[in-house]
Amino acid sequence: MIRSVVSAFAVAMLGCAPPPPGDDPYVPLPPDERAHRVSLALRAVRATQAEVQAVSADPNALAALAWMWMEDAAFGETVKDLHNEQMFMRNDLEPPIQPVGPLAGHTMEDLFASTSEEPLELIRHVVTSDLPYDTIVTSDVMLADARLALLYGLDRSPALGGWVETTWSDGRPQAGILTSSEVYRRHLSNGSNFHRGRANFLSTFLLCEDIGGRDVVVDGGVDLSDEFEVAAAVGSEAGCVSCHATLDPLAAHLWGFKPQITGLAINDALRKGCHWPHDDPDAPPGASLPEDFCFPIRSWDDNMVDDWALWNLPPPAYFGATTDGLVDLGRQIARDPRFAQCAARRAVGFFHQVGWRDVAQHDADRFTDVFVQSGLDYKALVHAIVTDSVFLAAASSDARRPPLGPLSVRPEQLRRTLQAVTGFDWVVDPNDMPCGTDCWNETAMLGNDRFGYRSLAGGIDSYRVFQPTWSPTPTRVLVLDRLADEAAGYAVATQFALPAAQRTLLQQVEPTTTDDDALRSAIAALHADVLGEFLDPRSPPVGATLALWQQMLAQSDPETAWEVVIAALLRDPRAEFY
Amino acid sequence: MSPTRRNVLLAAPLLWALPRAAFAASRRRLVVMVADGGWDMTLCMDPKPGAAGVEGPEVDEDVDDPEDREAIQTFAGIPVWVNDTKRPAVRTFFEAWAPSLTVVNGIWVGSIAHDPCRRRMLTGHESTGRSDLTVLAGARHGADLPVGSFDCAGLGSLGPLAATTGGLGRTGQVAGLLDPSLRFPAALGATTDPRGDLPTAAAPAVEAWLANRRAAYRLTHADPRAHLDALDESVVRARRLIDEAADLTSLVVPGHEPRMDDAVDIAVGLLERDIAAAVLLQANGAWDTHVANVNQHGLYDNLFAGLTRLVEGLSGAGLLDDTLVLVTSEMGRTPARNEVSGKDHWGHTSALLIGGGLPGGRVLGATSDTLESELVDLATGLPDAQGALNKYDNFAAGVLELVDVDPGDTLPGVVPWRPG
Repeated sequence: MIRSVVSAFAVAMLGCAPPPPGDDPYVPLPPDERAHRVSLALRAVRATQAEVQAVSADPNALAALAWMWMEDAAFGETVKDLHNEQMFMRNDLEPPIQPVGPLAGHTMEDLFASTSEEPLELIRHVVTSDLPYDTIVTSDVMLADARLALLYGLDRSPALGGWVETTWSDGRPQAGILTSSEVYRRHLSNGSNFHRGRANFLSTFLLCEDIGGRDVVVDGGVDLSDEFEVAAAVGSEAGCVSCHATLDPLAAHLWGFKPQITGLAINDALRKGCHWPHDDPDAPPGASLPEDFCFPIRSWDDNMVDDWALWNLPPPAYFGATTDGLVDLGRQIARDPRFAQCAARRAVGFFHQVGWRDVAQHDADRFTDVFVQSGLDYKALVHAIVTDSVFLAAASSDARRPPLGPLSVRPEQLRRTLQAVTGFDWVVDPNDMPCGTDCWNETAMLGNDRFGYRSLAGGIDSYRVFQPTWSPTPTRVLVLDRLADEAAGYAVATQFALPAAQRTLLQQVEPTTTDDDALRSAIAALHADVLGEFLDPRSPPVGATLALWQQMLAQSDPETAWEVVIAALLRDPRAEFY
Repeated sequence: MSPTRRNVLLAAPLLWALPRAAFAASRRRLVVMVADGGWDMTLCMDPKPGAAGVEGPEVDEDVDDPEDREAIQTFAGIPVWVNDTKRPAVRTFFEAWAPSLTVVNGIWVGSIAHDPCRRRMLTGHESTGRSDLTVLAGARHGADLPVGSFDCAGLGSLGPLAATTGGLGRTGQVAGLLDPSLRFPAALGATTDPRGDLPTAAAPAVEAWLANRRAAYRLTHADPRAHLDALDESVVRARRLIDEAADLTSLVVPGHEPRMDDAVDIAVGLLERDIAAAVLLQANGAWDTHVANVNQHGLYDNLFAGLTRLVEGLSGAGLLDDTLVLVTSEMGRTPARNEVSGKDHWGHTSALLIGGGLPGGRVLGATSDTLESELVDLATGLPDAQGALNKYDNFAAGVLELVDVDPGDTLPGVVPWRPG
């Protein structure tokens, strides 16, 4: 027994030991794959031929390109994707807010985007504006689009397009995502939870302290039928204190937020015309006034801020330190060393495609150092991760430290890559079915789980699937096959309808082209455009693809043959992985 | 040896591409049905009449309705709360199947947060990234089938065996991939393929081209996470799903969460036709009754109606003796109600086991009068003051043993709970 414990300890120490300084066992990927990996990771498109050539000519060019790619608007989308995988905002499987009342005329899809993206947009804004990352918990502004402004009655000019800076207009303190209504509409407080679930979300997301994931051992003797006794016990019983001593004071900051304002409750309230007696048993639960659920929604109430005291719960504090409200909470989180380390750990997990809990401590530490030394510059953190030898490794001379291997293209990346290459966006209209008042109009099949394939293609649904599946699955294959067919058909039809000079694909050929050189040139260009694979038109891979085209031509027509070729390329492992 | 996809393949090379006849005779199967959100065991299989502080179903009786009365009735030795007004399906199920049913009370989950509890009960692990019980059983017993396991609930944890799995999608989306007639139309003005499907005749040529491309890619890329193996396997399995499972999608209405009856019929169909060896199902409904715990009555009625349909379906197909059905919830609910007549999270739960050759008519494990898990003899499952908690990992290891999967591979060092 002792020997096995010692062995386990030794193995654990071996696995966790940081590598010796200067010891880098990694053999880099070829220049083209290095460029594509970083480009796809940052902006969801492959590197251009000129960019690949620059990396081939000068290995240091990749670092400069990475900085440049982070200036692309597409990097902002990546930042949002990354944070959605940590915050679980894009949950379309629970009833969304419907386009009724002042929101009539908008689509369900648009309303969902406006609400679920609100805190993600603030984070995107912080990162892409080169603000210190801790601004996400200290910002005195929030971002809103026109629909969100209608929903919450925000002071925002309807004439302005897109997401613009404004403030919450209900008197709440402003502390970045800590005071986001949409964060707390997504992360509810149920029953006698007293905002603990929300506090645990904040602790887990911002500090990587998953208090709620700890074992719960409750000794007998507590009268569980008495909520006051339970509330007292969590501050005195040994089995409870280890979690509640930190959780409850953190949760105490959040009592100003309504426990829950769900889409269903909002829809119910509107159906009832927002007028009913306050003692109506059918009134939506969890808020002090039924009309809070009507537009503009009131998700904050100054009068509830100190209601923790009604339950004899402890006052607001931060891991033992006293705090002065939400703004001060944001400052204390920003000063906490765990904040930077957690952000680094989560970013490494996202780019390396491992769970944040599984990121090696020495990796978390060294990227935290970069992050802190940069003044919490998130771009500097991401830059360090994607230009690091681990991220760019093809092989390793140390079996204990293998390379990452092929990385899977996420559904969100795939959607943007496909759009860039083929112009195709997989959007459907699910209203063909009986949907009553629950109709979604245009729905992106790679960005949705109510109708679409995001989680079946390996993504999260933010509802029950909280970690991506980075490995191929049969259902992901089915999704990608269908996507390839749809995109190929669209690309051929739209490209051949244009004059050659205006096309982005198939510029070298017409449907009637039979010249071998032109066909090879077109196929080599498709390999470059679709896969970032820059081949000589006389190379064997181009010959193999030409043979596929010829085989299809013998069975069908030129357009179909091109469709098959493009669909095949979109199924290639270079399209699946990067 | 941990049950990675690569290890499974090394142990049984290319089993997933082989004919199934050699396996069918001895195949073990597993169906896991989850009441996701947290059930209140005191309304049904863990009755606590007279226990101070435990509010059972009797508090919901309508005094003005003489038909709305709760009673504890014993079926084949299993005491259960019944109410023929609110939960008629409970009686129906127990009258028919109690002699084959094992009730397991007092499973210690050790958390009161949904996701950690779900992870613990379905995988036996606290940590993320593990394969759940259906995935493990499916990989073991469905290696020759189109897929090992099929997730009809959207709750599964695929882990390293992801390439062995299939999924329905939360609202049956996979139907649109298997059956072209079930696709959503393109949105107005949206971009989509105006030419329709590629010719079927193209498939062999494309597959041959892709096989060469994948082989070339493999030559130049280290693959420490075995993603390329997983891709090869997934491609074969995806083709087989199209060939063998497409017609099951007739039970799916795209865009809508499948009704319990339909999901059950899909599950039985998947097993009966040897498309999968394990299925994960969900007992529909909002079980997380922080408000109005009274809603659990209807949820139980729905659950037992679905369970009856499942067990009858398996029995009718001659599969029940080989198929273990596990019904559980990731957590229980507090003994007493909160200020809005709901019940909050509770780190103890129960399970129902039926089929798979397991004897029935018994209750194993127990909870105290404060609804906390009692110690049991893990070798028998019976209460034992000198025993141990039946923790989520013990229970998961025990379920794996019951379906002939070595729990030592995935839960090394964990003592399996054994039902006598």
